[in-house]
Amino acid sequence: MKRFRPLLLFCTGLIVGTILMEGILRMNEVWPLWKVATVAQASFYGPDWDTGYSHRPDRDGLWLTENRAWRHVNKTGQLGPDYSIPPMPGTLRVAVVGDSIVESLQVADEDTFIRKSEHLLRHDKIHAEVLNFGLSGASAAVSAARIDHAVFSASPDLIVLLLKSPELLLARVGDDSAFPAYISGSSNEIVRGTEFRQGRGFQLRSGILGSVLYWLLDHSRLANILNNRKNVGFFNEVSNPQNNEVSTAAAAPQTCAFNHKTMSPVQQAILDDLSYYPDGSQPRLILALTGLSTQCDSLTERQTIIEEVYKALSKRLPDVSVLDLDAVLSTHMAGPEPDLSVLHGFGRNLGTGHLNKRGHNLYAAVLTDAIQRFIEQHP
Amino acid sequence: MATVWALWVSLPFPRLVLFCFSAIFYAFAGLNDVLIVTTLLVFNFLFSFLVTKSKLYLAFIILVNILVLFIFKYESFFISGVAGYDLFTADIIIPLGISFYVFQMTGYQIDLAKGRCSVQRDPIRFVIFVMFFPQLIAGPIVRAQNFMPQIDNLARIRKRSLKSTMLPSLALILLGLVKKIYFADSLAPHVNDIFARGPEDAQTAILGAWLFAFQIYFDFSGYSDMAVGMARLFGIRLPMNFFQPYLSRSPREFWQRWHVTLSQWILNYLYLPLGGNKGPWARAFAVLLITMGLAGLWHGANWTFIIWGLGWGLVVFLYRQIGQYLATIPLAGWLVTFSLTLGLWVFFRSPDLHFALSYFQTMGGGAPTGDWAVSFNGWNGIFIIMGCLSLLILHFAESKLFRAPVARILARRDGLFWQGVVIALILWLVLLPDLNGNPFIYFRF
Repeated sequence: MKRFRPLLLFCTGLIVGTILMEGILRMNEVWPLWKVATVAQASFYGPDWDTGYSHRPDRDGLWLTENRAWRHVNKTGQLGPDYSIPPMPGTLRVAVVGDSIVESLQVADEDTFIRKSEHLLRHDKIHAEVLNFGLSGASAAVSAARIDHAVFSASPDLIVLLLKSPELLLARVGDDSAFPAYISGSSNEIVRGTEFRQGRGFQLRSGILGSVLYWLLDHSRLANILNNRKNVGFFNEVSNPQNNEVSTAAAAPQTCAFNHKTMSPVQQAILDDLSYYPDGSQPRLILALTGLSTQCDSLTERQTIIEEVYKALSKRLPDVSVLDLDAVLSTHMAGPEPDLSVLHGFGRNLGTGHLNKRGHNLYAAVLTDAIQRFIEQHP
Repeated sequence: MATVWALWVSLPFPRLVLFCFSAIFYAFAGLNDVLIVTTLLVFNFLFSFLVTKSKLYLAFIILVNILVLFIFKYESFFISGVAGYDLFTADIIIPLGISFYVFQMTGYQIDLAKGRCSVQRDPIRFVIFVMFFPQLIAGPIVRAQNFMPQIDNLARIRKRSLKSTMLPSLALILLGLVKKIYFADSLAPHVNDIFARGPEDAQTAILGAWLFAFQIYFDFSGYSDMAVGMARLFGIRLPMNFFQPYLSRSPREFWQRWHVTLSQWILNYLYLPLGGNKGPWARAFAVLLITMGLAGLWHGANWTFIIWGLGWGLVVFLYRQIGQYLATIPLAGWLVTFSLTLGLWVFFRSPDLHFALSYFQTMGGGAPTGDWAVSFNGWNGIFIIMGCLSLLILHFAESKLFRAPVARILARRDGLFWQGVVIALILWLVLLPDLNGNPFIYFRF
């Protein structure tokens, strides 16, 4: 025993030092210290049977990338407060679905366009409840899977889907090894593939070992630091979707064509998926296409695309509306050629990244306006 | 680091271990940087045998060193005639540590010529003198008469260091890491936002200058503390580079507390040879301006650094005239020195002179420089002011750390348990996520 005493002393010291560091990191999370001090970024993501990855329910923590914000994932796995199922009578429940722009981890919940539009609607005497179904890196297939499962369970009166226009205009067969994607089925029909479920990483994350490690992430700031630092392999939910998003955007050629009569099988599959819930009922949908201004040179071309998408969707859905989000945002901004990039980025990174406070304010105004119009047209 | 230390302790040839690791460490900088440093090492080693024979040789090797520095550091500045390269946001483009090792080698040659030290005949020892890995990239700049004897006696030093306490060395490394990762990197995003977007109002402008003053202090002194601590683990004593400069009561005192080894280099090899404070006031003023202007230029190819240096020259000169009156008013000397330091940091941090002048205008309540405003409303303002004052209090508290009672406590506590605690904290600090990617500021110079 005496022989091991030095080793024991040293290891005890290491453990005490580790506990001390954990304590310091937790202490730094006290308001307003967390705004500047060294803190650990929370791990919000986990494996999901339907979408490959999603937010783990009932989590609190700090988001640090781009801008610091304290965020909460509710009991049903959405960012924001809990909500009742079914909705309270007389409440208009709106589910906003999309990628990290909707997710808005970079700002506090009350500053997101989701919450702001809820306030604006209530200000206009519409008792609305707007739910955040944003998920970083969500493609058309992931969003469709999310609508089928998470959104459907929330019984919304209206769905607003923010979809990147190349997702629909290019609509290519994808790779479903990490999360859902449209693939060619056994008889060449287009289906939403879920090969990711057989993946080793997914199975590991969904198993007992995964539970243990996620428990560690939820109870140790140091575990989060290690996870963020060495975010490869086991806990790669955060990095994968974003990487995928970047690579898709980089690989996507410019395209400005859509014809409801000559849609590709993938385009048809996407629109079919958006038109029916799993029980066969149909949602009321506002489809907001984003980034169309980067795909088409003229406003006329963009209007044609919107009309064509509307024609295609309205054949499937009675209550649908299609928006060119860039165009609507531009009309809300002052000046002859408004610069949409000022809505993105924080501090020195103005112009690139996710929505800043100005962006959220404008998106809230646009979303509120779109919901109000939709209700008027589809009572 | 632990591996190097273990090899250094266990292998019979400690000098070779330090030589190899210093070379491997610098090799990560890339082939170009290695070629430059190798060429300079060869030239300086060969000429060290000649500089005592004729002043011509000394002049030549100084010229070679300065020329290399100018070619690789100031080329764009002198060719284009304009200096607009924002060192704080752009990539590091100068060879790693060039400003430091060129000064160290030049100082060595001058000391040799003046007979202050003897020539180093062993190339391995010479390489260790120039490239000793803890201080190679950003100092402290060491003098041969202090450092060479330690390299000559490495075997004895190793024996001595193994018997001496490890905890103070580890604590110094920890202090450096805390300064860099906990403080400097936490302040960096806020400083970068203010200087990238430009302050919209006076309080944001003052906040930017205040935060930058502490960011650069924590960043640079953190590196120096780590360098001194790491060297101490190998039994080598490097000079301290910082002595809480923001507690200075005069500009002269500031330079005795800020980047001390550079200040001493400039004093010994530039200011005094140019005549120092001797002669009529106009001459003394000119010497001061030239010296401080060159000290500013040393930091990088931008007018902002030159104006910063010249500003310090002017401040030091003026303070000589009025300092005695300020000394009679309690705290006046400190307040004036601290305010001038903050003001001069604005030049240092600004991307160009136009921005700096506009920044001063905003600081004085004039037109906004940009659109970045930090809200001082309600509790926010109170917390910001409390935070800023805390930085100053921490600065004062730090001065109490380097006292004999603290050293005694560390020596008394030196043992495996406390070593384990400190090593765990060091490891975790190294592992803290670096989402902003902030290299040490002085790596840019």
